[in-house]
Amino acid sequence: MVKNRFYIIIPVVLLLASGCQKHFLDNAPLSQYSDANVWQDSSLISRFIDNIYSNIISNYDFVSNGMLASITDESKVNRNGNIYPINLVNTGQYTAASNLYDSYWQGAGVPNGVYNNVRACNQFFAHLNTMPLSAGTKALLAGEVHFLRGYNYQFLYSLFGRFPIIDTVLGIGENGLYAQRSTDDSCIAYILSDYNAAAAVLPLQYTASTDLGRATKGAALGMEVRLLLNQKQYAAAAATAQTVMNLGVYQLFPDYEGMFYPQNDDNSEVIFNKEYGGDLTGQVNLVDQSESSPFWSGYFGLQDCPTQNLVDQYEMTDGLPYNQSPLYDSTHPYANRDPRLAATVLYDSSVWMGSVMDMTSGSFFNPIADPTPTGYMLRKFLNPGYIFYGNNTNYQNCIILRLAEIYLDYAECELQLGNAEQARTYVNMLRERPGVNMPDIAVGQMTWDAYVRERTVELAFEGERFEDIRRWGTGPQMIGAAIYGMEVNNVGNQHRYQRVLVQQRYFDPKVYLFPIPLAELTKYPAGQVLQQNPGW
Amino acid sequence: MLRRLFSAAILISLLHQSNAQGVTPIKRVPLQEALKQINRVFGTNFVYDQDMLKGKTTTYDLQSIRNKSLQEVLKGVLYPNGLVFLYVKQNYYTIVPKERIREQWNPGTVGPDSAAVNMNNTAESAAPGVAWRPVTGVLTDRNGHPISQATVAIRGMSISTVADQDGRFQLQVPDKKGSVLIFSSVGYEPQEIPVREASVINVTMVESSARLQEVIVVGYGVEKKEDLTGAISTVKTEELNENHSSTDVSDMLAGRLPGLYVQKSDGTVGTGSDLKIRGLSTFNNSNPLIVVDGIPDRTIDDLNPTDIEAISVLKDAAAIAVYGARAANGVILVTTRKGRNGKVDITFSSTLIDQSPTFVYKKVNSYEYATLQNEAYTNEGSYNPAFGEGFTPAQVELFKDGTDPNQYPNTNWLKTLTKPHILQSSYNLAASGGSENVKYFLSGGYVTNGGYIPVEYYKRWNLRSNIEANITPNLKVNLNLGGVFSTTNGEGVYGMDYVVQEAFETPPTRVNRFSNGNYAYVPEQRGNAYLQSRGATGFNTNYNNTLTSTMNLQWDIPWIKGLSALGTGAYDKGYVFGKQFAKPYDQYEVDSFGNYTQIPSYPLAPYLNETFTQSASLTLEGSLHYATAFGVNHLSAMALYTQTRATTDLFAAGRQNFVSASLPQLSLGDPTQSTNSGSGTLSTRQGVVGRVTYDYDSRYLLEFSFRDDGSDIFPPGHRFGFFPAISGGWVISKERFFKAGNLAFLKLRGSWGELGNDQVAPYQFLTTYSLVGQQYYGGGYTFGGSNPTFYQSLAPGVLANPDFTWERAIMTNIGIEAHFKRDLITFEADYFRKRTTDILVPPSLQVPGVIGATLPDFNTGIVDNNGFEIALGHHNHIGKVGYYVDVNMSYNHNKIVSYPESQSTPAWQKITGTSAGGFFNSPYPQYVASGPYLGYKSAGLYQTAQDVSSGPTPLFSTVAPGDIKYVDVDKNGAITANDEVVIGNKFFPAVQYGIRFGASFSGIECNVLLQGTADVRGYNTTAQYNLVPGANWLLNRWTPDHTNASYPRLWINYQNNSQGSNYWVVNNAYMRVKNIELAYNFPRKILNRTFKGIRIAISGNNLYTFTKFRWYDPEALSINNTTGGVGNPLLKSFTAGATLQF
Repeated sequence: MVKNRFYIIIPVVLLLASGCQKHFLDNAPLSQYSDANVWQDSSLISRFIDNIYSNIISNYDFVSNGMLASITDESKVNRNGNIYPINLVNTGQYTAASNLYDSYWQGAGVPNGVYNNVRACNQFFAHLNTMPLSAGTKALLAGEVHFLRGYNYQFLYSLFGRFPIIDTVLGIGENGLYAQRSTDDSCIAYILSDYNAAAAVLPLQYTASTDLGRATKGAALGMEVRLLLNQKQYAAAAATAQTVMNLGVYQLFPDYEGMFYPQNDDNSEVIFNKEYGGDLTGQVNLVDQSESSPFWSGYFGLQDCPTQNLVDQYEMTDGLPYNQSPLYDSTHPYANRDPRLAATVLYDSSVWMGSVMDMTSGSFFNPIADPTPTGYMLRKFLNPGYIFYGNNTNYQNCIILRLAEIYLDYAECELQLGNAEQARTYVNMLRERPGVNMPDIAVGQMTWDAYVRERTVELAFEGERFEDIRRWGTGPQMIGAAIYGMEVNNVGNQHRYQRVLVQQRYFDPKVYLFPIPLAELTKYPAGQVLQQNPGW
Repeated sequence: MLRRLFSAAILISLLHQSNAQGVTPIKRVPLQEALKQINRVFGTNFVYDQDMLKGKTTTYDLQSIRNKSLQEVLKGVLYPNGLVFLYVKQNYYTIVPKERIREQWNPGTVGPDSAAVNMNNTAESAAPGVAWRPVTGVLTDRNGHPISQATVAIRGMSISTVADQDGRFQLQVPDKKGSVLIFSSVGYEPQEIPVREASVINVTMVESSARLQEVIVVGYGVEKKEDLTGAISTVKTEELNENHSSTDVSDMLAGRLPGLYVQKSDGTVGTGSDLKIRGLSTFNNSNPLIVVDGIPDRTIDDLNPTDIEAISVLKDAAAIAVYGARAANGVILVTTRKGRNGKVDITFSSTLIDQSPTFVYKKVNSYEYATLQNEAYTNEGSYNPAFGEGFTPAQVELFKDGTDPNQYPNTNWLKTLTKPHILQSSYNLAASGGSENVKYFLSGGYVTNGGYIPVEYYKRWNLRSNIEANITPNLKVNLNLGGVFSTTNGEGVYGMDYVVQEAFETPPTRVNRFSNGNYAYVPEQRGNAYLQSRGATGFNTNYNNTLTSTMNLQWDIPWIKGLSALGTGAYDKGYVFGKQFAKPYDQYEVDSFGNYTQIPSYPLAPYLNETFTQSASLTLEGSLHYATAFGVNHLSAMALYTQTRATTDLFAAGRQNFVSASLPQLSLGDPTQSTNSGSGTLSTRQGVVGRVTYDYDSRYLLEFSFRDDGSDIFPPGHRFGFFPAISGGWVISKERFFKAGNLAFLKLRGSWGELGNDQVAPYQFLTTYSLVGQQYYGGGYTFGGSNPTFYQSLAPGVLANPDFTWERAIMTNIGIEAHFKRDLITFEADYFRKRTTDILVPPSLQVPGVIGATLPDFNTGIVDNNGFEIALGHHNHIGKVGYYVDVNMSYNHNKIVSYPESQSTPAWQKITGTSAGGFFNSPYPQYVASGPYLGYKSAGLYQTAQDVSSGPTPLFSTVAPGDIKYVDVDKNGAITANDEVVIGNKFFPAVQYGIRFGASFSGIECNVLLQGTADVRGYNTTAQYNLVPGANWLLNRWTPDHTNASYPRLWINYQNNSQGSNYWVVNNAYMRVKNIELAYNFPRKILNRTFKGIRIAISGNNLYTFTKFRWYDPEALSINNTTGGVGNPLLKSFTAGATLQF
């Protein structure tokens, strides 16, 4: 009996001994990779770069807050209150604390802030030398990353202007953290140097279809065109635009309406786009849900609604503005219009997804519960084959740069340089496309106004107008605009159309640049605070 | 690690040596054995409490007792163990601790020896010539249960008897004036009752004072309340179960324990209260550590309340240092019930509860709402009914006259959706009992609670088996098994909170059901909330199965008196299976011509998601316990090693496009539309714990304890933290100079110690990357145009901080305990100071976004917290009426001493110097990482245009009379973001209190609990949204004709009034009638032999709330709750219950 009792001490001793397991506390996350894994593994390096692509901000990513178009006279955001801060710009209530685009500076909770992407690019460059890759592969990957960093900085520049140039992987406590905003010239030069480095090594096209969507030489040069044009460096922009046009890779896509459909992703006109996957992946956009009538979306849709101001820009098929053309009939205001109108805007009596749209208040498509604020709905970008809630469609890519914009950029440069005829040629190429088929602008008729109208119509809702207005200095007319809508009434079974003032917008020159987020400014120590944009 | 084990080993061996000197070669016999032997020799019977002799031994030479007197032998055996013996009758002795003698017979004057000697005069009898007559009676407790083995004695004589199993006694009493009977029993107040002419004396015994004698469960051990040097509050099961209203134990603690702040913000079934000990002392997780049956990190809320023996709240360093790194926020110890020696005791109880929201939202009707909306649009000059901005006068009329309920309805959405009465019922069956060697407590419980909307419910089954067995006299084993099986059902797509909240935010101008019977599509509700609430969208069921097991092996090492070894293994395993099945339903829209069309619902086709999580936790502990006494010195020591390894594994799978909505099984979904995922975690800790307690005559008390704690979440080199505590106590009432007056007990105590907190994200010292790209979660990228290939992508994780380590708290505590006239009045007060340093906080306010990474935590924050608790009790009985009043009050005040903030922040926006409450209760928790809530300072409403133009330039040019006026804090003549101030200072209650009182009279009991908070503010976020939710407080808006308004002029797009400001900060202090219980214990005489007791009780919970805040429940405002708990309202309830004992 006594002997047996000694056995009892064994568990106790064992228990104490188990404490001597040396590595009992040496744990690491079970589902995350470490620094050591990543930079020695070509697959992981490749996925790291893919992540930067994934974090690019496209026009479609804006839909949750309202597209940039809604800041301009193209569109009215259909939401009230402070949850939809674009309203605040429209009504002159936007402040440095309004927090609309803060997350695009650095992602707060969302990983798509520009500086998050810049850091990733810089991390890549910091490890480039030691990667177990061939020199050729390294150069190619470096080209993509140069493009991505340039793209991100250009995006930042378009919203906020001058920015602190960060080109190292910063640690906490480093002095470089409090870098000041560089001059415009330095910023532009930095972005250009990235694009040039990219253009020097990137291929014209990728041979493998599984690489379709990666940055190309044309994408880098094309983005340069946009950058130079916005800097009003017309000669340089025109020259670069010609280089792009001469690459022999891009052609206008014949079907203006279908260009944005998922089955035409990466078509011949696309120079660079953000790719979306759909199905059960995480890489989806919300354009269809956010912009459709609640009749289809089953929830509030109609985030951004085209304005009468935009509709009025579409010529009649005779090439004349609606108010000068004999073809215009105020009882059928949408007949005989530039076909790009029907491809861009859903108006009363449009046919969409098999239904004739009825824009009278209280119709199924325009319910009293949640009506369009302008009498119009967006059609461009939307996929007519989309099955709501079905999760079984291929979500359409978002075109970031296409050949038509290069043509227009080129035309604007030539107009500014005094070569209207050169400009006219490229504008007419757009008008002559089979799906558009508008009469040519006649010799000598290539006016500035005609160009602006053409650019407005061609690139409607693509997110470029805000920068165009800044470049043109037309904020008072195009941002501080009187916004009109079309009220549709039933009178004796006939639809009657009446223009109605929807909103008198507010303009202050300071809105040409968004304020540096207030939350950012306060992080800098006194004496080193970032300079705010003028007026904020 | 070895070093630490070594230090523990030294400690143990030192103790061993000190003892070794006292070891004699004489055989050590358990006291119980010794008494048996004495019984055999002398034929004497002994009456005693089995537990009292537990672990006690004697070295008295039992071989030669035949030659000695019984008294001599008993002295030799019992006195060294602190026990004395009392003569009961011929050949009967009762054995009690010496302290009881002093208290019962001759307080303060006679020592145990003299008392015993007194009693040893067994031959004494009454004066000759006095007649004797019998007196009988029954002894019961306040609940009418018989008290067996109670002693009945005659004052001044040594004649006594012991009550039998049914509490009956019979005694011959001298038939003369002035005879007094003394009734006494362990655990009860002794009573003296004059005999007079009575021949039957039934006595109701009152539970003994001696709350001081109470044994309190402390970390890794038990201590007597009297000898405690730490700050500990305890609540017993009887008191807990006064509150029948909830399925969650944490809810029952409100107002009962000084120092414990209980806040309930969520009325969802199966969700308990938020517990904080002594308020906040970090801006990270301030939750206390929950320890159930000795094992940390178990959950309190899925326990069956009737299985709980007691709950202790450990507050100061002395009490919690043994839990070291996880204890900085205090510890809650839960002990489950054990079996007792004696006949089997079977209890069945059942309660039925009717619940309803404490506050019913009042909404405006659709006509009023339409008018208000028009007014708001008109205020902004954007009234334009053609495009949906407001209603035409004709439409407003239609809302008013109600002639077209399809297009111009008036719907009270909340009322439509929710159930006015929510039913809960619970059933418990328990059996306990045991013999000397095996004791058991077995129980099974079932509780079911409906939801606020019909589709929701909660069901829980609890099983428990706690068994204690003596395998040999020296070896004891304990096995506690607990099983929890719960089912929670919710709405299939969005969840209950969301459905109710969406309905709440839907204006009354939306129709629910058309006159043709079809349900309407409502855009605010992503469908139809009514149908969602009725289960038309499917269900989301979670099955939670948890098994907890704890096994202790205690070995009293026979060679060394007082030394025992304890091994503990605890293995908890949990499985959670979730099944979400969503399906489409029919909903319609009507156009202005009255045509109906069906609108697709979400989802378009049924889908099913299933998740499965397995969690396991294994804790192994080995410890040595030693206790010895030399003279009046008592020394005990404990050394323990503990380690825990916890893992979770999860996988999830789903399919879409089900052909039919009738069967929810994965294989019936579209195989081409399937998803799956999985993940896992692992965490480990280890620690060495030690404690030495010493007391001199229970008068001077000293205790030292420590824990050397290691956690895997920190980097090598920073993993271990040493957390010591030292404490002392002085029982002044035991001093000779202390005059024993009414003040029966007085103790001062103090403690100092250092604790840790590691409730932060782990592994922040590593640079990590995650593969992302999951449905709904974003990430990943496709290449390939119209024929895309998807790639998961690699996202960088949090920036690494290699020096990342523990938060440390230094705590000082001073306490006083006093008892007047035993327990007539008890008083306990504690004052504490606590400084938490090295608080982990990301430097988000100092490091600009250009760094481009998520920032890790750094050990930079400091928070000071101090406060006090007072508990005051008065327990008494006047005649047969017993009554009590217990009041407790807690106060805490915390201040952020250091926070990593920017130098360029103006003084009034500095976080340093403000309260951690702003972090805890920010109305926008997502911004908490960047500091507490900032907002403008309001100066009321602008009344006139001149008011607007004469003051500082408002934020917006649109500001007009009726808008909120803000204070120009920086005095630059304009309101800008620079004028915002920290407004979250009081978002955690400074004061919380409970007042409990009650009375009992022959089986009738009444218990009342009032509970409340004071000096607290809340942020009324709901009110800040324009027109949402059409609540009736909008009617008190500012208009030119109604300028004395509580609500600003209405707005839609104008931003001035929806800025964060202290205009919306309200005083949400409250006092609740938390609980009233009225119970009746059937008197024993009317029960037949089947029942030992029947108790019926009715009670009410949250019956009434006294508050200045009348918009909704003030407690719901106190924690991050943007809609005032509308989705999950707090409930009041009425309960009826019965308990049967067999």
